[in-house]
Amino acid sequence: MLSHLRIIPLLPLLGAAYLILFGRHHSRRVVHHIACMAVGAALVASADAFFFALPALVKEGGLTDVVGTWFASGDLRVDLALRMDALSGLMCLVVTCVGTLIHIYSTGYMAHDEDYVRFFAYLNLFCGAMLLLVLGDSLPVMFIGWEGVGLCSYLLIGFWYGETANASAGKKAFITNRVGDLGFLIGMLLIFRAAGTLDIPVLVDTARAGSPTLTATLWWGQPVAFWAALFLFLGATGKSAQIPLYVWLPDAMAGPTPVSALIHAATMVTAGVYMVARLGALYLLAPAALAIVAGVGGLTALVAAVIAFGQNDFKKVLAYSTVSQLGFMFVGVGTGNFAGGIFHLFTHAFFKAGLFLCAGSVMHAMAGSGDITRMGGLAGKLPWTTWVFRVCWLAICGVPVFSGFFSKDAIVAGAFATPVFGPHLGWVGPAVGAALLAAALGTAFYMSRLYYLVFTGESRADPRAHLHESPVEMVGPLVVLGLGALLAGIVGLPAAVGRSHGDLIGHWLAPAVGPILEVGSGLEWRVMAASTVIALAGIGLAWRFFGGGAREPARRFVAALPRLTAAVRGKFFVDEIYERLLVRPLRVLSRAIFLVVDRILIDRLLVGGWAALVDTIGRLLRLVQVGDVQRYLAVFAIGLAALVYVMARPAAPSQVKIRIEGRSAVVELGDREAAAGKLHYGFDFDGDGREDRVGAVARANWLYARPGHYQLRVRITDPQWNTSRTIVRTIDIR
Amino acid sequence: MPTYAYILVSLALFFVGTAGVLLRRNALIVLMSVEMQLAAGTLALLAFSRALGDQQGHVFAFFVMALAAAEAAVGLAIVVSVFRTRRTANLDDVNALKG
Repeated sequence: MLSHLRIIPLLPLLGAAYLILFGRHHSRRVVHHIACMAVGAALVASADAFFFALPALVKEGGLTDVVGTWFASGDLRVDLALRMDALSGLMCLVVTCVGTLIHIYSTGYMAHDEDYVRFFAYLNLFCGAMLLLVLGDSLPVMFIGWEGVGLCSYLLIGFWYGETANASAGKKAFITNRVGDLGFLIGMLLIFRAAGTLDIPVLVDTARAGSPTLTATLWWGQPVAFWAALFLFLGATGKSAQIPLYVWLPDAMAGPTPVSALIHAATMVTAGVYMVARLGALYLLAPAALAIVAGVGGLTALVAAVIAFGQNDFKKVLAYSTVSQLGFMFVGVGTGNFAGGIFHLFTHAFFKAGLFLCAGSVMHAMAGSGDITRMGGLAGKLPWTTWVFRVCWLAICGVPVFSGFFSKDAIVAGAFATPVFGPHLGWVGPAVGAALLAAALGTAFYMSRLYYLVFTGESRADPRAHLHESPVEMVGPLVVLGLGALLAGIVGLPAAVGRSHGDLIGHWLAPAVGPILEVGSGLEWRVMAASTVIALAGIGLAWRFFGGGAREPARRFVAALPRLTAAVRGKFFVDEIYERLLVRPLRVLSRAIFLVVDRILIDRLLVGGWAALVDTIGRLLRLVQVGDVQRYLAVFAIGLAALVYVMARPAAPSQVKIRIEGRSAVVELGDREAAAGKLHYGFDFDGDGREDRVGAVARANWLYARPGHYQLRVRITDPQWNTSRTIVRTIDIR
Repeated sequence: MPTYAYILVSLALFFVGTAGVLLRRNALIVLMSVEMQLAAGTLALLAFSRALGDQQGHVFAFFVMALAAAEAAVGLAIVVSVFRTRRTANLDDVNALKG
């Protein structure tokens, strides 16, 4: 039994640290053994915790492991604490399981890459960060993982940074995510200001109790919970590639394919869904925020599915497919059907990772090219890959029995049945449900198009190409993922099929995310029937258009609607619109600021100004440096004489006392040498320049004739050296 | 003779030396003027020493004389070497350190 959850994220992090520091001294064999073993050990550790320690504690909130206090300031105290409850335990298992498979796959896929060590170090680092995100017990700890996976995503998208396009894709992903992360941060701060805590369990309890701290109105008549949920969801749209921040994910396919499978399909991009499910209680307090989540999810699912019709790159199709499927998940969590959303996340991890690894296997055979117009007829050449692809394809299309069928239906039926939106927003549920059915039709169509173009018909590849099945370390993980894609659905049979206890995952997650969403048996059957018909219709339509390569109907369709097809191929020109509306104005503004602030204010004035000042002073002082020793000596002699004169002056009196009584003033100078009578004093009381009292006594008095301001001057002379000092005071006679 | 007479001579000697150092352009003359300044100092030391009945001033006078000899040796060496490289002993022409 494992009580120290910390070792789960620590193992991959240590693996990454070791590989970064010492990896280059080892052979490839040693490197991939270390990397795979680090993740594999994390898988064993999380499976141990999940299956043996967690079931007994799942009702009490699961296992916790407090490593220590991270920081404490005022009312804020954040522990570096990890928690494995029903939800995070499941996520943890998915991440380590898929992570291990993809590590093994990568040993084959990356076998000939020069930067073998760097790749595995980043991959391990990613797994560590992802596990920290999943297990983090408070929002800040989750945020470290959140940023960590973002960093790894950036590093791995730009892994082959030699090509500018890849490096730019990495930057695009990173910068787009920054926008979302700002939202996450603002949401976190709103929660802290309102609820005074950042611990997720405390926050969830506060939200479940309907605490007024979270339901108080904040801005525009909406409660704190709404705004916090909305800003956190902005973070989720960045990380999970939803409208409006989805644009980075298709470009992220520039990275190596195992990275696309692990980070940009199975794990990291689902972090937003996971976060919403984790904070489900907060979202339930704000139906409007849930409606936005569901609406964005539904719209993204539909739009991305349509864009996928026109893509001709294997991985780009899968990327838009991922965006679309993430939209499904957001509809799940956005309709309060958290278990349904997580269920789809779970099955999607298998079939989408499987699809990406198939893409990698195909591209491996095609010498790195992913252009599906140059493929075709690969079924006979790559038997294992083809079979796995078929399973995953049918799973994502939602053909009955395959895993995707159950999880997709759980979401769609939940959307029609959900009560969370209340009377005013009640139309949102059926609307997004209908959108999802349309998106499901699109999904079946574009995935079938992909299948037919790649695996059936005549080969359109270069006939000299050496097409071959991938090595066993790549095929093995493929088969495992294929089995997962086939069977993962049995953990979430709908109540209509599997009686009330068929929904294992729903019951399992209930302590963490709330009770299962009740869906009537009739609705469930109707949705299942409708989605089966839709899946088969999509596949059939794709067969008519693309069975065995692009056919006549497809060509006629493109010819009939040239503008529509151009818009779809151009991805609705979203990138171009962003370029016009955001990037260019920002660039112009940056350029203006650069010119005014940097070039003129800082460079010219602040930096150049000081330099010019010093330069000018230096030029002036240079005139003094004539190089003539005798002039230096003359200055030296004059200076010395001046110094002697100053030093030989009488010291300033330690104090000057002035007493005024009526119109008479008495001045007394406190002086040590005065008693010895060595000094001579001249007092000028009325400021007329004449000395009114003279003598060796440091004391004098005077009677003023009329009131007014007078300037008192005392001249102290040392007769021995003939030096003097003058003291000036003002006297006010009333 | 009273002490102040010696001091006056010493002062006169010092100022003549200073004027020579500052105004003359021939390096050898300047060196001689420096010797005059040192002699003025020595004279003042001896005068005060005798006036105060203290032997320290006498001792210092010897030190100053030894120092003056050393200084003359070094100074002359510099002048000779400057003359060798620049073919002149005129200080106005020796201004390589001009800023």
